[in-house]
Amino acid sequence: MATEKALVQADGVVFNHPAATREAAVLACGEVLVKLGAVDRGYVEAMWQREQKYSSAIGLGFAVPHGTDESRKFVRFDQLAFVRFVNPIQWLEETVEACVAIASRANGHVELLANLASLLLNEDHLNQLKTTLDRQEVLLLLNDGGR
Amino acid sequence: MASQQIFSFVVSDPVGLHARPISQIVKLAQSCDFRLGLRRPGAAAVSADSALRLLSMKVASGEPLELVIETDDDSAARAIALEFGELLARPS
Repeated sequence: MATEKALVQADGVVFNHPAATREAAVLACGEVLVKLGAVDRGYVEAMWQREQKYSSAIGLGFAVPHGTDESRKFVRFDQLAFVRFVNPIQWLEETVEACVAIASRANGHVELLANLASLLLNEDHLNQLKTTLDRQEVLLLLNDGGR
Repeated sequence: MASQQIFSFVVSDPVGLHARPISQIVKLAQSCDFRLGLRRPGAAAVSADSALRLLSMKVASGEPLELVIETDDDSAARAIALEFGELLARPS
């Protein structure tokens, strides 16, 4: 029986990543998911392909890179990774300060995204995610929606 | 003040209103000359140029939605509604 893993783990939270381009940022997110064992390497390539088709920037300085339907086969377990960058990254017409990368086997990511959106629309939580250096704070917010 | 034109849709995408159609809806809303809003029938409308606000609506497949377009230009509104409908219907 598979162990129930938290959606975000301490090793899935990265502050101060040096990526300076959209591509580097998406690949960095993918690497974190690979290291966690949540996805096979094929997923990382799919994330970048998907990103090139439709920007995953969702506003307020956040992007949510994720794979395609076809790449779900590379996902071993559902997982989020939080990667914040040293400098804001030009993301087509937007600027992105942090990514929440998504690995999801089913349609669970729709609910994930909705919860994340509600979280970011709360100004206090948004500021926390943009500035904190405490991994536990990020885990609490992303795993429990700041409740 | 421009009048509101309201168009009804059902989200037929099996995944509901997810990231891809939302990013396209935001693009449509940003490129169009009128204010676009999205709402569940009877509920307050959310500005369609905000991906976060659309995402946080958590719209599931099969749900009815109303597109609210603020304009007096009937034909322009219909063209936008048509484009919007395609974004909702296209499978992921």
